[in-house]
Amino acid sequence: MMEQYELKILAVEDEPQVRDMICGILREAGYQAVLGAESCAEARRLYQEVRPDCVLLDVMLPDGDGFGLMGELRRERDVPTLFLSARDADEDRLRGLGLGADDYIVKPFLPAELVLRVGAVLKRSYASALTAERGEILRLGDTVVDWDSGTVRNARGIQHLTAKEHAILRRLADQRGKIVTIDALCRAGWGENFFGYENTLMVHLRRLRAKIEEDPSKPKWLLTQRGLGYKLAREDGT
Amino acid sequence: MKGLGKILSRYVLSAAGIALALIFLNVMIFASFVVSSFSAEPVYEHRLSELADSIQWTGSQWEAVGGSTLEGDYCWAMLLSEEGDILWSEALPEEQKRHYTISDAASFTRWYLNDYPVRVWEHEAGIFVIAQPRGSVWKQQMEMSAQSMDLLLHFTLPAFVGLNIAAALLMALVFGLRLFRAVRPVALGIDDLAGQKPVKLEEKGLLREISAGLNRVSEQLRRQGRMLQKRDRTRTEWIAGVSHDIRTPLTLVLGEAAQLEADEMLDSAARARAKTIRVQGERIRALVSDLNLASKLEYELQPLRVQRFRPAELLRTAAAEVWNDGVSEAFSLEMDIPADCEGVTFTGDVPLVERAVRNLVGNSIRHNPQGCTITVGMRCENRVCRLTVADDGKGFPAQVLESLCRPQEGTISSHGLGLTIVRQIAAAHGGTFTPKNTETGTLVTLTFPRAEEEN
Repeated sequence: MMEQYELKILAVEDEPQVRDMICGILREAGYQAVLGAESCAEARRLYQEVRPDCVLLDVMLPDGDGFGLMGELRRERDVPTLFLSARDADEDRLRGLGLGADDYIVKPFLPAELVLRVGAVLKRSYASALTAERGEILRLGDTVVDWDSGTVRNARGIQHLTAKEHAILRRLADQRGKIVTIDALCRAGWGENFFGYENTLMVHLRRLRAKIEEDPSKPKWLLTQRGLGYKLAREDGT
Repeated sequence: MKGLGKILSRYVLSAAGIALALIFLNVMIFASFVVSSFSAEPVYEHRLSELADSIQWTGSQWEAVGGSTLEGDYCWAMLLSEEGDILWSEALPEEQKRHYTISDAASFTRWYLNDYPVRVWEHEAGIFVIAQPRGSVWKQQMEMSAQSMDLLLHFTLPAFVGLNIAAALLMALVFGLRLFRAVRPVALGIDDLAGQKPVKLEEKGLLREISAGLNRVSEQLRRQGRMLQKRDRTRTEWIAGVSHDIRTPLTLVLGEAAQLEADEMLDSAARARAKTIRVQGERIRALVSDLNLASKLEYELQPLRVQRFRPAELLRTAAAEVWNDGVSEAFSLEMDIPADCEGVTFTGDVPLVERAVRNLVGNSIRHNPQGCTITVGMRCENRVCRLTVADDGKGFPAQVLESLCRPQEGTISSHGLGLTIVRQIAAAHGGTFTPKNTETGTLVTLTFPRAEEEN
């Protein structure tokens, strides 16, 4: 078992300042082994020596293009790859993703975006190898939701979440503080053929409120954005 | 091609009409000729009988009462007895002075006597024979069974006329088809030209010069098209290149500013300044991306990735995205989607249509800093769906509205790039974009043709 932040990341970018910034952002975020390479040649060498667990590739490099380099590296060993490109041309994006890239980030990006997307790719790729995040919980004031056991604990005691309630609440918690549309919630509960479950969704949300809210008629956490969707308020109320 | 069919049918009909008119004319001329020549005959016959009767027995011999019987072009005459002897004659040539047998009489009654065309009339003493000069009259015996005559009148004649009409029609059709075949490639070529397809016609036959002309026009159009396309492409590539070059420094600006903003070692004033840099950097990022998309859409270099989707869901997703990016409390959002519109589907490029809605909602927020209520709605009719974004803000400035409503071909309006993109996206989907000011604010309507429902 290993920690996500112990994974080695190789960032291939020819612009030194951008390369330094990327490495800085990732180190800042907690990644302990972040390396930079300025060309395909250096990337190949480091790939052999360091055996990184994840590669960030610029599409345009002085001695080749990122698409070709990814194919080359992947032939040797399958490694999660993200493209970082100043070209937002759809063809490039699709070509990158079509070749099997795990994500395609368009420059300029915000540090938070980069960290989020690298993290997501790593979690997805190394889910089984990473230390299981045990005891992950959601705090709603004095109420605590334990995802593993699917229970809600508060002053009124312990209540169990149904599978649908669990899926819906999880979806809301993933984007806590953001509005999640009715459609996205239905999709989380019923899969791709979710159309027509809006009324059922309301029933589930009402039951959820009964479990997590102190006063379900005046919800504090599970807020309605009329006509649009719902959001799970953050601790600070936003 | 419909036009050609019409030309062909007109051609055949007019040719048939001409043929029929000709037949009619011929029949009329023939009939008038026959009628006129027949009408002369009774007089003729009458004169003949008078001439015959004028030869009378004077007691000793036969004599012409009127002196001479030879009037008109008659050249000689004689009266034969029942036995075939010449009882009387006038100007009879020497070789004719003989006895005539019954068979002689039977022959010359119908035909000729020694090549003299002769006419015969009954006389009390025998027969009166009167001749016209040799070679002056053509005689033809005509005889027909009553059955044949019947057939002729009731079948052969109509069949003859009918066959004529049919033959005329057939010939008209054949010639018409030949013409049609010659014209067809030219007509198709013109269609292709209109459809901006290259035209290369064979330069031969009746319309050789027209074909050659069309080929030249096509070549010229293609050359112009290529030049225009090259220019558009160059411009788009230039914009793409510039925006690419801006992105790298902007990455650094945004990255560093965001890190400063998050740096807890700095005081709040410095972090607020860093935030300003970051926010403005993000605006530049949005502008660069808008500019790129607008130039690609304008020159149709943005391929549409069409898929089926529910616009109701798309509207919610787009609105939620804008709201999730952080909107001040001063704004409120109303969704106006009737239940019967929920299941309606379109086909279109989802990210682009979403972009259009996001741009509209974002526009209302940006231009009404004091806050407003934004209403995102949808209405379905038989053939189109209307997506609407309205607000109760201060409305579009007249100048912006003017430039949006009358976009000039091939130019990208400098006012409201976001709205220009919305117009382009609607147009790319075969829809319309109608911005207007209402009594309370703005109302933008996007119409999209409704996709055939799949069962």
